[in-house]
Amino acid sequence: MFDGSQDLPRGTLDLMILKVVSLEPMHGWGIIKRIQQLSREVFQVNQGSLYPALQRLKKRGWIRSEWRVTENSRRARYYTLTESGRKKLGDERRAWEVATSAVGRILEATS
Amino acid sequence: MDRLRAFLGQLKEMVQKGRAEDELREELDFHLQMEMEANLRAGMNPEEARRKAFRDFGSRDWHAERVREARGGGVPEDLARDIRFGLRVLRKRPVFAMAAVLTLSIGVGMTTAMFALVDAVVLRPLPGAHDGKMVYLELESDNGRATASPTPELLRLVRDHATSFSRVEAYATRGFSMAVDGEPLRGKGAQASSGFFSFLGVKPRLGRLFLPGDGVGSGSPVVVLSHTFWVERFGGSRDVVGRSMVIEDRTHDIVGVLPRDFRVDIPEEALFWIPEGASGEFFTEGVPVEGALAALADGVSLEAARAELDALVQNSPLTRLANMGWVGRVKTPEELIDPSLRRAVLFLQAGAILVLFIACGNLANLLLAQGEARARELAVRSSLGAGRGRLIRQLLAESVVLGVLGAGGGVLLAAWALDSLPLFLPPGYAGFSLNGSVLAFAVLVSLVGVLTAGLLPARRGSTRNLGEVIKGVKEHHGGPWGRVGAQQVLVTLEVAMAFILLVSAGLLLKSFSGLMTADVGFPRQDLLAVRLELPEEQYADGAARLDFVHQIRDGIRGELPGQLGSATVASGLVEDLSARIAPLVPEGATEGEGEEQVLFTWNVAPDYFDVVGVPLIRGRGFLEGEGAGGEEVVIVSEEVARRVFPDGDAVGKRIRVREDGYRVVGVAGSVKLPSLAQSAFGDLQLFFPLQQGVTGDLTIIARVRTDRVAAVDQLKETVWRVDSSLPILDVSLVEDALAESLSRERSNALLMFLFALTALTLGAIGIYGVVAYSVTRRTREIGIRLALGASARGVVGRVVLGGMRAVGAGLALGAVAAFTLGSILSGFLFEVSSRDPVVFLLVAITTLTVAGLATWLPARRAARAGPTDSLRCE
Repeated sequence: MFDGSQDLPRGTLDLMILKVVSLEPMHGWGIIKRIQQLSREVFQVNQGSLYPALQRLKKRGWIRSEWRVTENSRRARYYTLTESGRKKLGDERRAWEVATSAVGRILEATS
Repeated sequence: MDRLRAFLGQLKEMVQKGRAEDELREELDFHLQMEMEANLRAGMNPEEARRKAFRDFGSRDWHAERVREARGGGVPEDLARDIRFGLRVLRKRPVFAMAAVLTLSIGVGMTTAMFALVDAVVLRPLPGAHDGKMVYLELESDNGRATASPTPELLRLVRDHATSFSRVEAYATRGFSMAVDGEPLRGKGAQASSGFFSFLGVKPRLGRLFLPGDGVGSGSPVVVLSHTFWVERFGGSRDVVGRSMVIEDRTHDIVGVLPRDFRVDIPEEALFWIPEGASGEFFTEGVPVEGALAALADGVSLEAARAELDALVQNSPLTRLANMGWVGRVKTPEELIDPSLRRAVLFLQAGAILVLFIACGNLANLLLAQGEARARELAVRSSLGAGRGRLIRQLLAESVVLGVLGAGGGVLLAAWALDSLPLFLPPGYAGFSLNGSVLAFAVLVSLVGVLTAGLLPARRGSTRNLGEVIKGVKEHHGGPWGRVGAQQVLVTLEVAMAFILLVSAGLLLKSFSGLMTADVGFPRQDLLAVRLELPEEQYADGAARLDFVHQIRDGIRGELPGQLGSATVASGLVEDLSARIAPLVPEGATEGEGEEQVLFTWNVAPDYFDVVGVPLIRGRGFLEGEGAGGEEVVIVSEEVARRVFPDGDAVGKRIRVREDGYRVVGVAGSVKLPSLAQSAFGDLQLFFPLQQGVTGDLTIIARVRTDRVAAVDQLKETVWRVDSSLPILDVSLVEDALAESLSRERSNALLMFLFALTALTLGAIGIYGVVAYSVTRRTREIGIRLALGASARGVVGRVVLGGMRAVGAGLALGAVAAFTLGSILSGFLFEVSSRDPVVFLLVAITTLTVAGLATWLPARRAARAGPTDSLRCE
């Protein structure tokens, strides 16, 4: 599933998409670029993972899509966070923080 | 909420599948475009930018597929795919599909049509909505053997004084003369209190029903048409509202039409309804009420209401009712349904359900055979990775498609059946229609039927050993000539059910023919009855009416050498009798002695006994002029003579009916109206001379020679020579009228016969199918047998024998079941035992013959195929 970003733990891609889309409605290409930029080029999300993931999130009702016109007057499908998506993002984010700090404590253990 | 929206979006995408695909492609193209532009901005030349973008992006189709995967798998999409697939499979096997849908349609159609009757008669006994507060008011004889409608004075008491009832409505029917577009007609009309329809919650089909002011003001009177009358007389035209018709010489404005399923508890439908007049007839003297409805006041229990009504009857200023032996009764609508009608309808429904079972059995057999034929296809799909659940689901989806088609066919069949049913259904079955609940029933029944029929084949189809199926290894069964498998069990059950239905139909038919030929107490052939109604205005007193009778009798006597054999006048024959409740004692018995009895009385002319043929057993008939002025006389039935004068001849003795005394001049046989409830009226019968109480309702009874039409004309002419304006209510042969009174029994027998016939046909088709299929499957084996020297006859014989084993088992099972369950039927049978050996034997022979034929036809095919054909068929 996450063949383009094998290093990401499962579910991380969904979390990042939700986060990016929560900042502003965004099309697929924009989401990839934004993740790239925000992660300072650490994460390269493959479009082969992105579009199925978007479809999955949409089916669960966390994001919805609509066609809009870009600043260069092209038609593009924009994804927006829904209310339940926002809740999901909050939950996931807390779970992530708990998990990372736990992992951090383990890694920092000295004896 | 968001999930729901997502689901709806998915549904939408499914519907607009093409659009979703286009959008997906556009989205991916947009992505490529952006990538290319980014490459350009990074300084590549256009060609390079394009190639890099495409290389990085990879196959668009591959991406699209991945997205589709993520999107797919939803329930609606899978279901739609299964159903599409099911339709395709059925289209590929049109004969199978037709057979299956037709079989199911027949079963569902019959069950649904019968359910419409159950719905109308048992589940919705009264029109409109009511909140359980609606009750009927009735009078009942204190021994519970007779009921009557409340009198107007009682209704007035209830309306003005009773606290248990918040509202009282009443209706009545009678014959009216009327004219539509100048054409004079006579027919039954009804009159109702103005709140009647609103109380019942009836909604008009067209226009409006009664308003509170109708019938009271000075404007022209209004009339509401029954649905039937509207369709038959006015062609169902919508502009009927605003037109008018003449009723009893007054022009009435047509203001509305009743809905088709409207009915009340009256034996035949009224053509029209007019509101009660300003004087409030139903609550004053005069109009005989036919039915009275009331609403229970808030917080009043049924028991309290009953007690109050009866107290009113017993203690009212009008003690007449109580003196006559009547008590007040409050009944719920459910209590009012004729229990024998309810039983008959439920019984017929059970019959239809048996037919449905047989249809389902056939369907299961068809699906089983299909399943084996498709075993290879299923095995291939299974080996390609379709899960077992997926296969079962898909087979079930095919069943659902069949079920929906079957439901559609069944509803069409039921609609047709319901349209033609009234032609031979007696009154009382009115008011059925294909309403929502009936349609829901049809869908439910067919889905349950098809899923039950489809489950077994689906399970089997998905559990076969795949490798063997693919290699073409046929399933092996126990014996060489078929196994006792699912198909055999189905045939056995079908035959058993068909047997039960055939026995029921046979018993009902035998009972009906017994009723048709039962003794009515006089020879019924060639007897003509002409019913007259002398109008109150011209024939106000008895003398005028008697004078009319004399003139008629003289007139007829003058005509006699014509087509009339002989004729007499009486207050009625079989249908126009009056019942009285009174104690019947020999004169001289002390006051208060004697039990109240239901008595049936006629007033007859002296030649009644000669013309009708009711035998005079002892004594004599009436003399001319007897009963006028002098001593009052009576002729009693044998049963009266036996009961009142147990130890001696009744002739010459005096008898007292409540306070009136009569001298018995003769003893006659009883007039009987054969019906399931022994006799519709009892054997306590009294004949009085016409002079002792002639009413306006008269019947001329005549024996005709050969030409009935001429005889009827002669009678009519005679009547009109005496009074040219007299309406003739009805002319009928007594034989026909008697048959008419048995119409319910006739339709029960006919419907059951129809079910049995269908059951037998379906059963035969089922047997044929099973045997034919097994012959086809064993063609190779049969070929080898023939090649090894088996005789064709021997082969056919073995196939037939194999098939008939299941038939024989079914026959035995059916016979045992019919024998045990027979008591259910006995309530419907007239002088026929529910275990009538002749019927059982005939049914057994019929079943064996039909089943034998259904087995033999396909079996013959087996032997006709030459040995080489058989071997080549692989």
